[in-house]
Amino acid sequence: MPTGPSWRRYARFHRENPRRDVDDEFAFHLSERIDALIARGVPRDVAEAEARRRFGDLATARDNYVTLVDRRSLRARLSTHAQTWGQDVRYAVRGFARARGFAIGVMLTAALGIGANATVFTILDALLLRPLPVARPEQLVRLYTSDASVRTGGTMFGGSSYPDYRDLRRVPSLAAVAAYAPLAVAVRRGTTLVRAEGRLVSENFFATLGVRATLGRPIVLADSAPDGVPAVVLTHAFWRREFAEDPEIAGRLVELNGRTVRIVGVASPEFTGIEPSNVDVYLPMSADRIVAGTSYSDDRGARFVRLIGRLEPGVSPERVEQDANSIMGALGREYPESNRDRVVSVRWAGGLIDTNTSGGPVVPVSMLLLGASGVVLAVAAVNLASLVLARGLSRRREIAVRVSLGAARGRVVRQLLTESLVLALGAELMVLAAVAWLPVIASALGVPAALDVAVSARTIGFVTVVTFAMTLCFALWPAWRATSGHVFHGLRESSATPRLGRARAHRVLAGTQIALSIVLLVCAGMLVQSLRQQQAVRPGFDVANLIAAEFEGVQGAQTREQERELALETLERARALPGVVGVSIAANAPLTGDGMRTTIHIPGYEPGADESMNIPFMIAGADYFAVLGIPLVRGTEVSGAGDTLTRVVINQAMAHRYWGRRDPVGRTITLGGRGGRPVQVIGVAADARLQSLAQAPEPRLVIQNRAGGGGTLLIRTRGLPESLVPTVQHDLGESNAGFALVRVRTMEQIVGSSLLSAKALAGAVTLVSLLALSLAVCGLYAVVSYLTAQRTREFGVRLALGADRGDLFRLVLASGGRISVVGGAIGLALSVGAGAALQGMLYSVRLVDVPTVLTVMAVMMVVVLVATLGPALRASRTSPVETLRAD
Amino acid sequence: MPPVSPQLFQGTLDLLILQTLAWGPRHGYAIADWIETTTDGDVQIEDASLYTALHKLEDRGWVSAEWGLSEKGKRAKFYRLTTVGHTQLRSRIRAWERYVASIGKIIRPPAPA
Repeated sequence: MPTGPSWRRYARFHRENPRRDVDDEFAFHLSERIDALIARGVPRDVAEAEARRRFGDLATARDNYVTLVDRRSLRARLSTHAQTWGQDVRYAVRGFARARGFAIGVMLTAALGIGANATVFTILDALLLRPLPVARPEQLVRLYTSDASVRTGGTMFGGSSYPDYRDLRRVPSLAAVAAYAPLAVAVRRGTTLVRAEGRLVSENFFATLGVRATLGRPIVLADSAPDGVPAVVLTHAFWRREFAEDPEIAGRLVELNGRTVRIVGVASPEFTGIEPSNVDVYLPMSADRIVAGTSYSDDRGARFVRLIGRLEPGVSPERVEQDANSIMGALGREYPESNRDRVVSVRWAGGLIDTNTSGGPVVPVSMLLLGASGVVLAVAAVNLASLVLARGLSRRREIAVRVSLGAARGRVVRQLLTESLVLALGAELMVLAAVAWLPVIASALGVPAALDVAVSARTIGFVTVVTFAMTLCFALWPAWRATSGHVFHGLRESSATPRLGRARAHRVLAGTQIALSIVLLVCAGMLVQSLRQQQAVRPGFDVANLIAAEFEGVQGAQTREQERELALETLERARALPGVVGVSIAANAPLTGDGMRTTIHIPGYEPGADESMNIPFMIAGADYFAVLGIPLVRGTEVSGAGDTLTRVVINQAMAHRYWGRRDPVGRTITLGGRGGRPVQVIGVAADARLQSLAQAPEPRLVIQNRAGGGGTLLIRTRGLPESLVPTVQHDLGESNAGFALVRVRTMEQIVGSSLLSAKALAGAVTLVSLLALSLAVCGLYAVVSYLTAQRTREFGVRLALGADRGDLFRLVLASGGRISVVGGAIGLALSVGAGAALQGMLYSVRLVDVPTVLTVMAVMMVVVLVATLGPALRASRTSPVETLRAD
Repeated sequence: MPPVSPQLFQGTLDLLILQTLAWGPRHGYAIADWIETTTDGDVQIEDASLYTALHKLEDRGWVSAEWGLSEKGKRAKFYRLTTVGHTQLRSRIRAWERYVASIGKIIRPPAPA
């Protein structure tokens, strides 16, 4: 129904102006009153004054009326809109009932595009955007310390020592600052030990974060007394898992790391931690001597705690940094040996991932995935545009009829947009229903509960915005096109008349899709290539026939001396196992962690202005290099007896960097900077990739100590290591009173899991690119089919004029081929740019990776062939008689 | 005795307007005049309040308005009771009677037995 602006309809009852309306009404009233008074003999001027007096507040009455009418006409306008929209929606749904295939195709395509984005966004949101699950998270900052002289290579955002932390609590611009440090613990439940992730926290940790206990109490100031039975607070998840939500838990004593501790409370369920890992128990820092066996909290050089602070209102992190550094400066003068040149950095706490430290690769990887899913969305949108465009063309007559019957073009465009929107919203609902399963999938995959991937209001908002944006992209242009042109053309036009301009639009869309999916395919190919290169890398140590057994907890060990004895005893027991040819002990197995770093000083070596003297090191037991199969190029390593912390073995990279061609063996260097602890270099080992396969060997050293520096036994076996794993598990795990055996893995397994993230990334991007590719193939198929169908009549004429069927076949194949070649060339050019952006994540893959490009091109050719084969065959089977008769 | 203001009782003005219109369509001045003469001048309504109430009733759909010609041939806006208005009027009269009866019980309690 053609309508003007809806207020005009309303004006039929109220004339065009409610203001004039009410003025007229009041004027009539006043004149009636005056007339009546005059009739009673009152003089005119008195009558007028009296009429006004009796009327009262005319202006307000008039305003009230105008407001009433305005509000009413707004309501009327809105309801008219709602009515037309309702009409459009009903009309659309009726239309879809007739074109079910089209509707389902559009919805599925849109759902794929939106779904990829919704998934990536949900994960990104959980990692980076969602504020920490604590009170007023926007006030929180993280504090780091680092060595001012270490501008390169060193850790810019390092941990702090507990004594430094106690001094930093004086920073006036911080309302509070708390410290926490990881501590692996073993909790006894009946006869078994349960491994748990613990955190030693400052006594104000819970108060600073504003986290309450759901049961009992959190850790409080009273817990900072170092004596007595230490308090422990369980996380809600751990309480549920290990204690079956026992409501009587508070006050109970349990054995933790061989000590008795008291469970004082359970943290609130919302508090899932401030790191992307599961934490099970919180202990006061004062308990470190008791449950960790050593006391870090008095050592100003042991930088093992992380700091999180709450700002005073209206204070910036920069201000806190200034205040903290003036304190740190004073500490540097007071304790030069540990604190000289230390500086404090303060940054907003942000989300779960601390992007300053561990978040390094998380941000680019997230961006890559978001970009890739964005491409899928674009390809899907292009497909949708094609579909909607084609539907618009097939409805050209219907639209022309509506326009010629008087429908405004805007009205018809709105109708077409509504149709697309209805389908897109259907797709969004499908996506949200699917994304709601993410938490189930995440927990099945063992993702820490701290990573909350439940559908949030933010996800819904994001998905809705994406849906609307996509709908506008894919629907506006086709709707505009479908309503353009002369009405008479539309009415006169028969469906078989090809229109060249529109055919070009279809080709451009199909080409764009091919270009976009080629970019993604190349990215995926490069990631796969990078993974292959890492798998092929020679680690420099003997991966085969090696077992790593990790221990934790020092149950029963009273002193460091006893702990050492236990370690040696365990070593001997492992050595005695059948099939074992060598045993050593180290802080951690190769490829399982960054280990520690220290600043070295080498007499006679003058570092450059920006050169870092901060290098990684590890404490390892006797025969470490022999067991790992790393040859010693010079000197020896500690073996058998010989038990000191004064001898180090360095790698070739370190020897080369600091001594060049001279022999470092026998020289003395100091650890912990100038004036630190002197150690003697006794050997040079061949370079090996002990930290990560992707990282070229850098200078590093191993401090040798017979009892090792910790908890990983390295066991070299004669035969296949798998057969020995159960023996190790049984003999060392169950009968050993000293340690809790955490896990036993073969080195092959460790290598496999070190490539896990690279595998996951390559897999995810490959999956996404295949998604884009399959969408693009559908798009290409649809376009070629459509163009072929449009040309049926032309083919008939050609056949009638003597062309053979092979000609038609080649003609159609070539039309698909042209689209792909142009799209493919553009895609390859774009992929060079994408490859450049990807370089930081790649290991040993060139900017243009020839094998990848060739593979992608081959895949593309096959795919294009498949997409065009059907239409080409159909074209070659054209019957000239029928096509010519059809019109 | 000074004129009574109908504003004393919540909704009384609405009731008066609706009842007045129950006799037939009238313009605003006629409503005011009717109420005044019928109560012998006891009830005097400020015109502004009358119109505000009238306009609200119109917005609620209890009365409808239409422009027409007055007895003297001037253009005037006439109000008419709608079906909804009729129903409202009946229920308001009942409520009013109950109200008066209960107030009456308080201010003229039955003599103790």
